[in-house]
Amino acid sequence: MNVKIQKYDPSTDAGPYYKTYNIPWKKNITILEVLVYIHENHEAIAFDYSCRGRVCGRCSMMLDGEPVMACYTPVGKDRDIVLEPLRGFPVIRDFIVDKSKTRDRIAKIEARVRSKLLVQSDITAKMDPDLAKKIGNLEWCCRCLSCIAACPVINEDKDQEKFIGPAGIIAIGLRYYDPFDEGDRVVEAVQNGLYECIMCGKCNEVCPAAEIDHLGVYSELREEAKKKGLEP
Amino acid sequence: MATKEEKENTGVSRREFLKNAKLLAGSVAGGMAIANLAAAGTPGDENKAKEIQIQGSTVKVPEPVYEVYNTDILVLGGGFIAVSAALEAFGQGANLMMVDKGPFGYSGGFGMNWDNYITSITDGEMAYKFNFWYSEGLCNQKALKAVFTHMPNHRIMVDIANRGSSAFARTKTGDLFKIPMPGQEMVEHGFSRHESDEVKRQGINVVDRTMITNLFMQDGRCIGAMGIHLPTGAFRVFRAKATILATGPCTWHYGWISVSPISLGSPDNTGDLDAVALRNGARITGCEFFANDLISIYPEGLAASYNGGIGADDINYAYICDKNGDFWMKDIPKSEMNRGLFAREVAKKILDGKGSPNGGVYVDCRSDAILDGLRDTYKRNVKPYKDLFGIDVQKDMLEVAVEWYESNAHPIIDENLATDIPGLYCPAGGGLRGAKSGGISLNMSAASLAAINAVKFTEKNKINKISWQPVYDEFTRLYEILGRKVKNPIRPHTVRHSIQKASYKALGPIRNAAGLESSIKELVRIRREDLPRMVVSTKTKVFNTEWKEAIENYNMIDLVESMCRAALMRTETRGQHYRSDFDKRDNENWLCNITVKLVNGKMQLEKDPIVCLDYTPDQVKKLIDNKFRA
Ligand SMILES: Cc1cc2nc3c(=O)[nH]c(=O)nc-3n(C[C@H](O)[C@H](O)[C@H](O)COP(=O)(O)OP(=O)(O)OC[C@H]3O[C@@H](n4cnc5c(N)ncnc54)[C@H](O)[C@@H]3O)c2cc1C
Ligand code: FES
Repeated sequence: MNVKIQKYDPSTDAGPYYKTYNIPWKKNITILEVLVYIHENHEAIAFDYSCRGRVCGRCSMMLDGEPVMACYTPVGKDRDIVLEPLRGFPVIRDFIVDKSKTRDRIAKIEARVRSKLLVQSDITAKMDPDLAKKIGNLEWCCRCLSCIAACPVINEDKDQEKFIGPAGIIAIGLRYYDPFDEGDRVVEAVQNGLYECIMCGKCNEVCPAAEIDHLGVYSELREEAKKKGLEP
Repeated sequence: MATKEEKENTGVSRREFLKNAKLLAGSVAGGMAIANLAAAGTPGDENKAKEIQIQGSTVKVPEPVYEVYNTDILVLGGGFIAVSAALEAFGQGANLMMVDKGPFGYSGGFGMNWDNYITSITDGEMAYKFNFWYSEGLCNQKALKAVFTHMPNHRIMVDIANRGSSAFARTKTGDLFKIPMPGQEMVEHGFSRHESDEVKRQGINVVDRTMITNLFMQDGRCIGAMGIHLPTGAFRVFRAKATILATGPCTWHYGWISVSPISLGSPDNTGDLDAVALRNGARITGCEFFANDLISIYPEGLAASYNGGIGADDINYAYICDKNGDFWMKDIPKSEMNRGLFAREVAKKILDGKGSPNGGVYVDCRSDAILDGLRDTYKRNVKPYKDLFGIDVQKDMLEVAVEWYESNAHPIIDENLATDIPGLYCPAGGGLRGAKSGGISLNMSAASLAAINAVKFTEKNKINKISWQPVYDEFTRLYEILGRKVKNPIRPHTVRHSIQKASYKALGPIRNAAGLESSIKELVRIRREDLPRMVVSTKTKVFNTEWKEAIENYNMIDLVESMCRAALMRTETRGQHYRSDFDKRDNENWLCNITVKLVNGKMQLEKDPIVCLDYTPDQVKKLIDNKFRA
């Protein structure tokens, strides 16, 4: 298979450029295996990974223009592919991008708002198991930020100020369901662009966590917003 | 900037230099071989590159340029232990800084966002007794007791909840789902992402994508650390009054399939600072012990991935079977099961010829009941296995292999979690766990205690004069690796795969003298023949992954050799260390630890008596031969 990859070393290259390598295809070959093959058999390239199981979020990148997790995406048949770094993030070198700004923004928004710290009895008290499961599902967001790379609102309108993006709304959703949280997460969701979202479902398609029902969360938040008269 | 006097100190005569350069060819451990190479000159002048000669070839090493950071507490690493230590020290009001090789929050085992099983202490004294028993008598009793009795009961779970986890698993009636253990209990569904978020929210200073490559030593004391900022290649020096070593286990050495070793760990886990501590005079111990799970090895790209595969462990083992479909472990009561027994059972099956073609066994998930009971982490992989990779675990048994997820090789500590090097603390503590592996409650409690002790120590660690020579030496060592040119170069990944192969052959679930000896021989050969020829093919300083790999290889080989040598020396079976040629526990000869140290660049192993507090060696022997009784 021919693999065309985008390379860029800011210390030597005027700008990003493409280079094509021919590698042998095998059954179930993953994108990560493709990259390791090129690195070991053709020439050194810079890419990042860790868990090989779509939970650390380090290997997200673009395959033929769509965000994927390199570790968990097989190339089904012998065909040519194009690989590029994750769209919308500053490139450090080749496939290594800096996600820290977005990640830190989500970390802040996901902070629990609560007047008093939890004590043991708060945690051991009964909790509806379905609710625990519902929150648990959103916990699988690994901050790979594929959803942000896929989001037409963020990428086409180029307006990150109005819309925090799918991963951010999911973080707000997690606290919205969290019975220990005392903040007004509906206001926060609206403030962070709940209604900028066009409900296209792209985020849900590219998200490596099947547990997260993005549109379901947005819809629930919108319903609550409507009740509160926050609908634009 | 160095003063004039210091500048003069950096001059090294050519003879001295060549003497050092020659060392590289000998069987000297790790990267200390070319220390003292830095030549005199104005620091910071990049144009004044020096040519140095190694093995007959010329390497251009630029004049050292470096950044200096200053803090009271320096935490090395960004994983579970580092974060717990940092949050504790920060809570004590300390001025601190964390340095992480990976992107913070994504790095190490900790950077994987899976549903953690969280063990929390419910009765410290009992937890101590149980962990002492589980350590098969080898733990440092003083340190273990200090750690377990330091942490207030239930605080671990409450802390984790307060940092953001709220969806701990529940029973059908909504009660907290708990797995009881003596003095501890386990709950499911902590997510480590909240821990790293908390660090960011508190405003703790994290310097990430910065690989520490050496300690900053002064007259035998640790006054910080140094290393490279990977995105730019900038050399960074961190000065600190106390340093906490928390760079994780060394697991990335154990074999290689396609994109990973047979380990569920992270590529960040290369044992860097354990090797560095060893080379700076600390003794390390626990090298022969590790912890394992059984994880699927197909498809190859997901091999041994806990989060991408399907596996089994000492808590969930009823669905493990041999090649004949015999679920031989299912009748072992949970109360009697532990990781050591688990690993030995698997090893024996393989030795009996009832294992799988690739040296493992199987898991059988063909019944709905088993599928239902799988850990969530595994269960979520069943569908994509079928849809994406065409592997249907409801139709076929799945081959699983013994992987390494934890290594016990760490600098030896005392009851304050202080290492042999004043100013350096190590919560993962060599000797703390004995033959048992870590786990979250031990790790977090030890991290918290180490942080408190380190904060106390900052008041004592004052230096009157500083020499920057170690900075020059380390800078030169790293840039020699980057610039090296030789006749028959080998790329770093090739050298690494040779180390991984040697490790896999010797350090698996079944060990014997022949296998260990042959791997040690191979490691000595790699050190002599391959390491000096290891060449970084692209010379860029911007995120040069090969440069990083090459530097790590020096650390990895030191640790793997320590592991092989200790495993060879321990002629008995204990914990996960199973010797097919000595298949019984031998308390008469081996109720002791093995320490590894470097003497004139050579590895020296010694028996070290166990550290006693509540139990004498005779009492220990009796206690560990019996079942655990509360
Ligand atoms: C997939 C998986 C599942 C597990 N499941 C459980 C479980 O359910 N329950 C449980 O109790 N335990 C579990 N464990 C074990 C537990 O996670 C580990 O014991 C724990 O992560 C160890 O923490 P650590 O801080 O020592 O290492 P890590 O979390 O691996 O962190 C090491 C850190 O050091 C950094 N580092 C490494 N080298 C350098 C360097 N040279 N310079 C600077 N920084 C460096 C890394 O970037 C990383 O931030 C699991 C582990 C894994 C990987
Ligand atoms: S390597 Fe962790 S998500 Fe791909």
